[in-house]
Amino acid sequence: MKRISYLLMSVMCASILFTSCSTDDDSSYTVPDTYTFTDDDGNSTVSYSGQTARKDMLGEITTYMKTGNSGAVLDAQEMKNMYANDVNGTDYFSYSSKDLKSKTGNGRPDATNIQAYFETLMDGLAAASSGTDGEIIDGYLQSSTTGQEWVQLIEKGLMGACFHHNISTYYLGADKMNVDNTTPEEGEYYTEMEHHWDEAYGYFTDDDYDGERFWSKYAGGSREALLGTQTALYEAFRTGRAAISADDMDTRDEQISVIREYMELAVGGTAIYYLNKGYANLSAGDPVGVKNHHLAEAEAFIHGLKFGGEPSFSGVEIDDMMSAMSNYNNLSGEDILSIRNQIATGLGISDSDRDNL
Amino acid sequence: MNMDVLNQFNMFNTGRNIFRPVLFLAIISSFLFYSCGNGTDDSGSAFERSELLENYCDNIIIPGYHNFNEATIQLHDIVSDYADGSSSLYDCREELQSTWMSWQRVSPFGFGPAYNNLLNVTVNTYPVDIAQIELDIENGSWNPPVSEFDHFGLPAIDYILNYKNQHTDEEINRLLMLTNQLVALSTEVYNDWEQSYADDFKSSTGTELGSSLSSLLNAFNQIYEQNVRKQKLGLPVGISGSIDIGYSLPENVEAYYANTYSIELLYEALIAFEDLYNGDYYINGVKIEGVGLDDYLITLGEYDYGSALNDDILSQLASSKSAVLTLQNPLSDYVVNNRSDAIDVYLELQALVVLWKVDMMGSLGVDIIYQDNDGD
Repeated sequence: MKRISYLLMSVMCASILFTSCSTDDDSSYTVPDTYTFTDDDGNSTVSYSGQTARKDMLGEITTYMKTGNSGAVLDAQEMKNMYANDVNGTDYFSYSSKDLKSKTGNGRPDATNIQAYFETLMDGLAAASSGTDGEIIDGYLQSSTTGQEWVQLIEKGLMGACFHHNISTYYLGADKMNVDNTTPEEGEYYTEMEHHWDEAYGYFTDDDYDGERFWSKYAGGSREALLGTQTALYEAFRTGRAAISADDMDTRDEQISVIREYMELAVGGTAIYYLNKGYANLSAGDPVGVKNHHLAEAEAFIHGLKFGGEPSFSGVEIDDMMSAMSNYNNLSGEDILSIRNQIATGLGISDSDRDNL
Repeated sequence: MNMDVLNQFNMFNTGRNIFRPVLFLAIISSFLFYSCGNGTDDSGSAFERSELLENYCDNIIIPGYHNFNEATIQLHDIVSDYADGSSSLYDCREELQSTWMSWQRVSPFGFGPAYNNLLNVTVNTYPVDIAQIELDIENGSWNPPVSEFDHFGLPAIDYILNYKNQHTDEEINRLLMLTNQLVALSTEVYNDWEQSYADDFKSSTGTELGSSLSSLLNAFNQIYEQNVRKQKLGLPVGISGSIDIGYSLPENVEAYYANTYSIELLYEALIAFEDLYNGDYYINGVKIEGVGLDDYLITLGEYDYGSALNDDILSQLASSKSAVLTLQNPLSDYVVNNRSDAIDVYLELQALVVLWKVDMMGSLGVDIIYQDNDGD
């Protein structure tokens, strides 16, 4: 219900905006159809190369981790070096001074605990790849006892703790939005506020990438079809950015709320999507490795619900959901649906959307 | 509910409002120059900054470093005595507390010699990495910190001294290395001030970037904001900037292993900042009123939000101090069991950031040059 009212609100605001624009040239601006913004001299004011680099890095780490699915023995230190983009004081990747670790839960008081959580998963994955509590089941390297799949918990988990966190909390938070919006930064064409907005956008998508990946991809699919996440997010990013360039802070703030709302729907909607898959696998008696693979993805996205800008669940509630699924092999269909329903209720997703995600 | 608490302070529209006082100030100061004509210095006020710098240097900073240096020497001596059985673990723990208290008096001066010697990060980075400390004990060799400081300084000593009631030779050996390093560093910084930096500090009387006042005030604000407000209470209650994670992180309190005087350290730090603001110092325990930032603001009169700002700061200091006194040791339990009360105290500390960092710096015309370092 909340979702609908935001949409309605933004439509109303936009219409008011456009109506008033026609009579008041001073405050007029249009929201472009693509994420393209230029200054008066035609220079592009958009920049988010650092975010593109971090998405590339997560892609490369994942590629390495997945070699464990075909029997490679993985090195925990290697994964941590990739994660921190650091090996003995020099860059692991070619992207200098950019890394995923320092951007995991950055700015949160418990950032180091969250980073340690992922490093512990890397230790678990490396141990599993050499046979300690790990075996390849239906093509996925999983825990022999709990069915957990480290690769999914790390990759999808970092989509939450790094990308979603930086979009919804860090860059659209007051600390990064209460900044200068009057003069371009030294040597650049953008203001500090414009740049922070672009950085949030850059964690969501990339215009020059062939196809969607990470959040712009996961906001698609059934989430787009039923919840309208992908369209709403692209539109809110463009509207908010246009508002910043026109110094229209009210509209910017409305779009921040829209982005936070729809990012959380994308995270929670994707968790529900995978819980539904896991439930269907269990009911149909599908191979256990496939079922657990889907449950691992679900757990990782549930973890991501911690990182919303205006989270609907407390950290404790999320920890409880995660510990309720600490052993996938013991989860009944009823258990899976109970977690799924809790997420749907918390996010205000209708029963029919919930069942069809 | 947690968001509501924070909303009192941030909210998005203040982005542009921050610049309004600056604009206002610019207009006012242009009037000032016009009407005064032959103002005595570039800020348009009659305040003698050289007196303030002299007072800070001679009566607060150098004596502060002297006391801290003495405290580290005593700590090292007592640990040495503990090593050969002539003092008790209890004595060592007591001495650690008084060294930590005296550190609060000099932590605001994280520029110049302290900065060059990595003093602040070496002395008081916490929470510590226990596993690394245990490795250090096992290795038995000395490698000074390069980039990771969370297994050195007072917090590392706190872990070894207070976490265990009996100590192996290897642990005592490590303790001695740690206390010895504190002696070396504090001696170095004290000597730097005493022998050369003091003259430079007192003779640089402008307000521009790189001037003594700019260095002092930037360190003052940065350390109050990050090392007092955020580290001593913000992180323990689970708040950082505009992010509230909704639960406390008790292992983040200062002096976690002693666990009996985290609040005393916070209170001492607050008093240190209050005295520094007021320019006050002590001779034989008697407080002397010296030239401080309060006097500087007062000379700006009522037009530049000077004297009225001073009133606001003094009153906020008073309420912050009484708020801190409502906390109870062990702070690590208090932040868990009385989280919302602890957040109220945090908000009192936060209110000083606004008055000092935004209003005072604006009124004095000194730029904030530090920022959270986070490459994009």
